[in-house]
Amino acid sequence: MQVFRSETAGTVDLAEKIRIKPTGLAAVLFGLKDFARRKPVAFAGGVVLTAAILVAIFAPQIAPHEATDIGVAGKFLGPGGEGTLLGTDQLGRDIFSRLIFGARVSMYVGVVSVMIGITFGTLVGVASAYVGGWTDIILQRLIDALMGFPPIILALGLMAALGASVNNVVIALVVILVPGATRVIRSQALSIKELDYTLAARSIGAGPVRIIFKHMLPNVAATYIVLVTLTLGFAIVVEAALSFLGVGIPPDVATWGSMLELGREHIDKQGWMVVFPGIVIALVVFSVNFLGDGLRDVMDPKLRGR
Amino acid sequence: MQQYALKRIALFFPTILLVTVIVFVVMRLIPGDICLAILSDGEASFTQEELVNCRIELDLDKPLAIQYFDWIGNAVQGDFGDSLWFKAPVMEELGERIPVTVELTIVAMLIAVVFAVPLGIISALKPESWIDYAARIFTLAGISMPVFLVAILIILFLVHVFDWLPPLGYKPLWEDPGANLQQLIFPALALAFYEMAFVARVTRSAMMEIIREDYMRTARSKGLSESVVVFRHGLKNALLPVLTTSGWIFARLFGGTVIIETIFLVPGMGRILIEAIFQRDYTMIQAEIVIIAMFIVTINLVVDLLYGLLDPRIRYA
Repeated sequence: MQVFRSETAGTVDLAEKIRIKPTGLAAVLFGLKDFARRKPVAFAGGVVLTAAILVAIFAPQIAPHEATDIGVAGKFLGPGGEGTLLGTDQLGRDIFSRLIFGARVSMYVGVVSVMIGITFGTLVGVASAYVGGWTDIILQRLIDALMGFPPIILALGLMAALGASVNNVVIALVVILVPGATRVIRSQALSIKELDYTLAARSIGAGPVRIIFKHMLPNVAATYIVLVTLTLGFAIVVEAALSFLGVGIPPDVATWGSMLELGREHIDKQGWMVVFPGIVIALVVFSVNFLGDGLRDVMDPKLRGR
Repeated sequence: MQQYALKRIALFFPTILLVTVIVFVVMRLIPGDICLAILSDGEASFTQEELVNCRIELDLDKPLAIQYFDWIGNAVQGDFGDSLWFKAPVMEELGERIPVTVELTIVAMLIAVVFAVPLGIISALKPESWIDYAARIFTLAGISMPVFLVAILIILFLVHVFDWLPPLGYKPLWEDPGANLQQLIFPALALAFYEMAFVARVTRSAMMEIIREDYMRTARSKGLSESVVVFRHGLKNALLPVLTTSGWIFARLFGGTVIIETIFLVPGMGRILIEAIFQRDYTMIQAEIVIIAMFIVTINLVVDLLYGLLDPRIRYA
């Protein structure tokens, strides 16, 4: 009797657990809490990334000055000089405000190019694996060739041809991000294609569109999310590098890369001009990489060591 | 092995061909065409006649396919056309610049390997020790530091502590080895920084797995000294992943030279690429990108062949 009762109690307990399984916003919060507990450093990286995105969105509300305001205080001031937080540059522009507006460019270019590039790479990878045959062989050779260029060199070639502008930087980034994403997703899609559930779907007469959208894409979703975060840091670095070299974003826009270049020109007069953009770039890239690593470990252990 | 090597070599040619096609296509992405871009640069005005003459001079009036095959035909013979800026064959200028960049890349590679392999091995042999923690923090920081940032921090340090600025005149290695190395050591260090972290990470994780292998236990149990076990049996296998990733490493190093040479005023291929972009010297840009891609694709081929030679397992894959 005792045993029987405890068994029922157990069932009730389980039912209770099932019933209170969180849904909607609660589920998201619960998932975040779980992630924070398992991967605290990666979670911190996510917090920094979120903060950077918020700063980018609300830049005009946060920044004390416009990025282009000349002479808000003296020139070449160190941190704290004349009421500025992080000092001023060679035209007396507020470095703190410029960093905040710089976040707009970095976050916009990084997020947009990664979303387009990885999404396109995923679609091509899945399609290439599904269709197979000559299409697959030719596509893979093309990807081999694209991967034969150091990414920054290919991006420089594209920028030289297209000219400096925000959207052209996005285009250049998409071109250098697609090959890697296609590779990774294709190899995963190839193994999914051979799995029983795909064969079963095909045997009951499912067409290619249904198989690709209902069976293959949902199963590469985890890899997709991991790739997006892991390449975001890389995209931010390449944008900063192009702007630093003066061929990325036009020089009248404040970006972290162009601030670094200005600081390099005046490095003997005011060292802080390179230190702050440097810290911001390193911190954001560091955070995004940690977040990507953590997501990979949690969602897709197979990708480890890639 | 033979079959693997043949297959791998057969893949080399279509890749090279596609590389040239990609560069050719990228250069046709210029809005309008090259002549329009050069002539309309700045506030310069030009006549229709000038435009037509320029197009004839650069063969832009011919069909695309003919332009491509002319370009490739000449390129195979080492003629990449005349620089639009120097008004002389591209290879004349590039020929002097290539050795500088190659030297810089090789020095950086040596620094990275010499420093990172021992670090990775020590870190793997003594996991959770202070040196392992230090190595892991260094590698994580290293792979999050863009190469331009490392370079600028090095210069900032040198300028403010030693009053040092990058020297302007360049001395070739065979003329003045001392001055040459003095000039290249800081750029090479900056370039190598990321790879030090990367190679240390790769070596550490490879060595961690190798330590647990049966042949390591066998080597120890038959009474070999610890150093023989680690160096003869362990190191040899731990270097394999470094070899396989060296294609990526060289690609990144070549990409990095563009930035490093600009910052440290080294007159190599990287700096001339940036200059060519500002000077709208499209023949130079085109030639240089193709040459760099050839380097990388060839290095990848050599790496794959070496790997097949050193690791018999690959032949069955």
